[in-house]
Amino acid sequence: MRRSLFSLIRVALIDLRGGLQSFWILIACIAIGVATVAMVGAVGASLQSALARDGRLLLGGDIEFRLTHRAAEPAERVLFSGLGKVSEVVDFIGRAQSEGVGVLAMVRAVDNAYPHSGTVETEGEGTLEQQLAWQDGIRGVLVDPRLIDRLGTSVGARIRLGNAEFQIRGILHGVPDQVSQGVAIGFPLLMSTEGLAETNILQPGSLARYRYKIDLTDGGSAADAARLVEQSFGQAGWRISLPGDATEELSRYFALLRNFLTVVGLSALLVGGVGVAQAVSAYVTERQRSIATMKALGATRSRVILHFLTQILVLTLVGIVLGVVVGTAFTLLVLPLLGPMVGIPLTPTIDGPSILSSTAFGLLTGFLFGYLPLSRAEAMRPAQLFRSTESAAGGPGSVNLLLQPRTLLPMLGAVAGLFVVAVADTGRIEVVFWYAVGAAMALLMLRVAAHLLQGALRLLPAAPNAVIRNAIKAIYRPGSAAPAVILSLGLSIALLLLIALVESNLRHQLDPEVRVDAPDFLYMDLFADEVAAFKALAAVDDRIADFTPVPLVRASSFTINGEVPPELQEPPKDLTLYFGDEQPLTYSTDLPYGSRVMSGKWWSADYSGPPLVSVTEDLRALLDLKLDDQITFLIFGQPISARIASFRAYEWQRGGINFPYVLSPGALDEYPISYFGLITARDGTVGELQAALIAAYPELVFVPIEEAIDAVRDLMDTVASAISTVGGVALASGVLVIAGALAAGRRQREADSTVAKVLGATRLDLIASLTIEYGLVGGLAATLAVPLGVTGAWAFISLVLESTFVLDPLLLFLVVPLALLLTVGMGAALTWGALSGRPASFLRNG
Amino acid sequence: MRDARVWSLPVQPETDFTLSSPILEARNVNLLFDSGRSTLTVLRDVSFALQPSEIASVVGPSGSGKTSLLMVLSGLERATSGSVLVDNAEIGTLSEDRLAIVRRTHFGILFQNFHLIPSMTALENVAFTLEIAHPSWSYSDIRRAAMDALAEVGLSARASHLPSALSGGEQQRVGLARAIVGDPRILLADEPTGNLDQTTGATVIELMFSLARRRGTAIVLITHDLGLAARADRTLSMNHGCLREVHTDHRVSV
Ligand SMILES: Nc1ncnc2c1ncn2[C@@H]1O[C@H](COP(=O)(O)OP(=O)(O)OP(=O)(O)O)[C@@H](O)[C@H]1O
Ligand SMILES: [Mg+2]
Repeated sequence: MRRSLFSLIRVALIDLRGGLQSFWILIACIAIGVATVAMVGAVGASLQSALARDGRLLLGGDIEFRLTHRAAEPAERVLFSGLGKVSEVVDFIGRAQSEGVGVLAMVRAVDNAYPHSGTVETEGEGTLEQQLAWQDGIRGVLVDPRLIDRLGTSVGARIRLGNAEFQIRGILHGVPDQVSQGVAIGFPLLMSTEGLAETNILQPGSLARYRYKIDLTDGGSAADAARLVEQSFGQAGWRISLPGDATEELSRYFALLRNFLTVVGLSALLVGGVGVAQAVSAYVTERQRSIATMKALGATRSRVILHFLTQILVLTLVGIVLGVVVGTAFTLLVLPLLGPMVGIPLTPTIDGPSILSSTAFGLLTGFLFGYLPLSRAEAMRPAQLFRSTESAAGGPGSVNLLLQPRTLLPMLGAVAGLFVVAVADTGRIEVVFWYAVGAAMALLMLRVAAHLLQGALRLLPAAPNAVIRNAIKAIYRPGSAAPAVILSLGLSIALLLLIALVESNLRHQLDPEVRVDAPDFLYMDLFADEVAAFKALAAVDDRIADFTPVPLVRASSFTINGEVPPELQEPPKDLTLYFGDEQPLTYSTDLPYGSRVMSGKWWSADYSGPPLVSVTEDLRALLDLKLDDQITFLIFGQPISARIASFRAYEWQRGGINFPYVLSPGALDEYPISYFGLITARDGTVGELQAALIAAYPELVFVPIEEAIDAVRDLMDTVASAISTVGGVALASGVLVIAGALAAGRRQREADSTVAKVLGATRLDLIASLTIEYGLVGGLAATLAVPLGVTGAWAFISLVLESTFVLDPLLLFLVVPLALLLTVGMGAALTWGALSGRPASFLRNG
Repeated sequence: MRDARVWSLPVQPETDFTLSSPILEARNVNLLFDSGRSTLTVLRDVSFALQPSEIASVVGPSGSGKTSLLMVLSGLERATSGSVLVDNAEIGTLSEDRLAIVRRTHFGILFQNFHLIPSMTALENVAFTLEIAHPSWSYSDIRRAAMDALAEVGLSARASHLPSALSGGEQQRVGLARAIVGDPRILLADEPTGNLDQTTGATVIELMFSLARRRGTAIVLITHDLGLAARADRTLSMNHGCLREVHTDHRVSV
């Protein structure tokens, strides 16, 4: 028994030897597939583990209590101190000024206990405490290098924030808990809590985050601490974050990235699979004479199959080892680059599970796609195999053969295995399932289309030109590579398109420009008297085209019909920038500009009954709301209930700010209301007006919209770059598969071309014929790939990401002709090489 | 005399083995190819029987169906109708795997165009037969047997060469060594001397004939060489798929 196994392996290896160079396509395809899967998996895992492992670091403590508008009161501070070491951190948006120039800054004021873990990365002399401390008659700040740039100053210079002056003592590169800070507007600036007090910027009700990060005393449980604070001060609206939650705050951007990784990972599996299939069936075709010989010598079916499976296994293993090495090396290179892009240090680690799943993927695909062509070739009569020059393996194969248990069962097993690997790799069973369904349908469609093309060309009257005639015949003659090329080309182009479209959609989503097209300046925290002052100013200053105050109250949480909605989500994206996890509320007598009532009724102008609320359609769908539902908001610790009177749709294209919840007038009267002040400048006066406003109201912080967008765009760009990097890898592997598909049919082509050359065809004739052939085949594949790719991208964007799909027509005009050009170009290059040699050498070896 | 103990009979062990019982027999075999529009009849009602250690030559014009006959006799092609019996057992009804085993135990085949495995050396090509038939043999035994077979066809010196490095005649002899290395009961040889010069051809033929004498191997010898055909025990001629016995006088004189 053992002897016969050895014999089997020995012979299989002998048969393999001497031809290794001709298996490079197979090995390369497997290596590419495995490398891509390993890489995508490792990047995803690294992100995940960084978020999980560094949760405490990213949060900046064992637990964080957070409040907007006010600092902790003495009683609260006492309770916090009882839990462990407390660090108080205040985040707000301020304006750093220097010689008349003002730049928006994301200010963070910290005490001496900060940070509990990790280090603040700075450039400059002394400890953090010393850098921020009072020294030589002035306090210090650390600032982002871009802020220095914008202000046009240097380290050592003085800047003003509110009522106080500070000296720039050094450069701030990053804080360990940056990620949990959320999306920042403006450039980071670090100061001390004492310094903050001197600025006088923060008043009760101002938009600032007061964070209490606690390093729990040994043995203290974060859950217990959370419960204690909730029981004692639950009404005050404290937000509590545990290390895991630090990552949830970023969920949106990382969810995007992770979703994208899912689709790239699956595409890598599919593209890799197509490459492997291509290579294995080309290999089996090449060996079909040997299969016949073995049978003539008396080898049984299982012997033949085992012989070739052993070979495929060996080649696959070589490819897997190569792929794992390349994938791991690439991951190690990419992670340190990707880390800064997404704002989390990604340590270059070797990810075991990814390697394992990519190995399993390689083995299963190799088996799956090797087994079917092998069974097909094996099922043919030896005499047929001997005589036929065409591919027995690539032929249609009878349904009968496929339905035989011994063919079907191993393949079903492999498919199930692949499914498990894909689910394990991406962790999203429904996405994998639908992706698989889509891929299967795409495969079927491409197969059928190839068949139809061949049939149609056969029916065509013979072309008068020999070159064209030969090109057309090459497509439909038996054993033609056209169906295989259409299949792999169509799938690859569809995937290229899918990835490119998903990427462009994500970029589109991340591009704040499409959302905010509102006024030029936004004052975040105006009180009633200031609103009055602005109104007066607007009346006399003709540089101000419009001033609109929007009343605003922030609710820290809310319930629907007394229950916390399980899907409780971030508010619409354009507002998260300003509010984070707070719910901004406004009231209005009139239906806001740009809104439309979809159901229910808008209240009458003189309504004065119990509070009503109008909610956006988005939220209705998201939270499954109905008219007359009761929403209870928690405002400054006080609950206020309102009945849903209407649902609104909002067209962001028309400008303005969309509030998810608009209450009826009077509902918020008892609460300290602040205002958003929206100022629109007359054309051409923006810069002038800005300087005038700073001079008139130095203590008020406003956001020049352009500048804010810039800051946000910077961040979006990094996320988008990360997405592009990963997408680029997938694209590259798609291109390689196309190359593989072309190279797989190369031997046959070489043989044909050589014979044609011997018979007197010129190289030009052959290349012309080939260009026509590949043009036709590639054209069909590309034409089919467009609807496939677009459908896939649409399904992913609108069904998985639940977002609006935007089709970028430029991409279609770019990707498709490029893919076509690439196909014909590579095909021509491959054949040209073959044609350049003397025919004799090929004929002798053939 | 033949040593009958060497032969096992896996197909029908209970068969009574006598001299009068043919080792290979075709009964009313027809072979048709359906090529879409027309049907091509390649073998027409072919019947013949071959006794153990008998040598039959088959002659006939190109395209008359000689190779097809060889394919059908060895089960590489299934007859459209009629039956083929190996050792009195019908093989038309056997599964592919049973057919493979019948070939392994009964046949040695030398193909017209050799069909050596291109990635294997001459020695490995010959050894391959034994690897399939006797997976439990040690590799050194297999090697030795393969070397002996190569020596018999005069190719010991080229044992480690790949087929692409061998001349047509050399490849043909490797094919013959591969066909005889397993001591088959039936040797089917398609143009075994087609690529050989006279002297080498004669050596090869001598080898085959002595095999028939020493081990009782029955041989079907397809050839264009009428002189060679005449040296067989009997000659058959193939014409448009019809197989006829040829009765000549000069056979007596050999
Ligand atoms: N699979 C097939 N399909 C159609 N026709 C076939 C097939 N196999 C063989 N033929 C035809 O059967 C006929 C006999 O072929 P075969 O190879 O047996 O001839 P042959 O007598 O061996 O010729 P040669 O002396 O040239 O080798 C030929 O006309 C051939 O074209
Ligand atoms: Mg022939």
